[in-house]
Amino acid sequence: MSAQTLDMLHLPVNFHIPVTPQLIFSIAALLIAVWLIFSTILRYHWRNYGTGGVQVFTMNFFYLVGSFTLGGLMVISALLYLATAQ
Amino acid sequence: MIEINESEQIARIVRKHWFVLLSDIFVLIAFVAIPVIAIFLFHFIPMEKFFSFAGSEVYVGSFFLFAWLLIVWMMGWNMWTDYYLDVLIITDKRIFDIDQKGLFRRTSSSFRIDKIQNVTVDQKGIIQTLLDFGTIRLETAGEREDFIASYIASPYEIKKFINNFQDREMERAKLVHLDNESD
Repeated sequence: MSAQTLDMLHLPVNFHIPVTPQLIFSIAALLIAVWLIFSTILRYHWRNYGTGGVQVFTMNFFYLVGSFTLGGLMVISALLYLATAQ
Repeated sequence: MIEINESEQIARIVRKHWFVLLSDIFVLIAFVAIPVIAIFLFHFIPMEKFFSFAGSEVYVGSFFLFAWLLIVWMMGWNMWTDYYLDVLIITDKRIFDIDQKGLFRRTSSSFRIDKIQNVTVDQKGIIQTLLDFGTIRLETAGEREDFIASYIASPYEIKKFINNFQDREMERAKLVHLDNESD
């Protein structure tokens, strides 16, 4: 089944979303806010209930490196989308 | 830190076997695979009917991919934290059983090591036997319910450790008692 086949089925399309850079940046801002709240709660648990200083340091290191990498790539993609927007 | 008195010394920290993390890892792999499946499905859906893109579709695609991976990353760390904080701590005076369920539910119970009357290990099935994990049941004096810790790694070794540790602590308590009497 291809896009053309789906087209021929004449399925009723009731929505159309314009994916603007503003929408992309709103989603990014929402996700970053969620990440900030989640990270605060998570690191609070590690600091207060963790069983070793070195372990907690290592977890913090990997968590932050991974988060900044993914978050950074997400923001760069959003900026490139903005740059290519007409 | 955990609610341990300053005078207490931590003798051992026991966690669940890594096998309990496997189901979580499979869930994460499935979540990571969702964008791959989505990219495949998008070939069959006339996207232009539902969405209009102001810029490059490649960049918007990569944005949603990384956003999704960030969500999965957070889910993974939530699962790890659940595992990491679920712990059995043996000190020179007490045993603490800390049960973490998600980020907002935590149960911590403890009892004195000299109250232990019996330590039972229960291994069920081929996986638990081959990978060496199981349930430890600690029976205590008094009307308290038994203390049960499931999926503990190397349970027989832990049992031996608790028994030896308890014997040593009781010997030491006896010596202190005799010293006090002779004074």
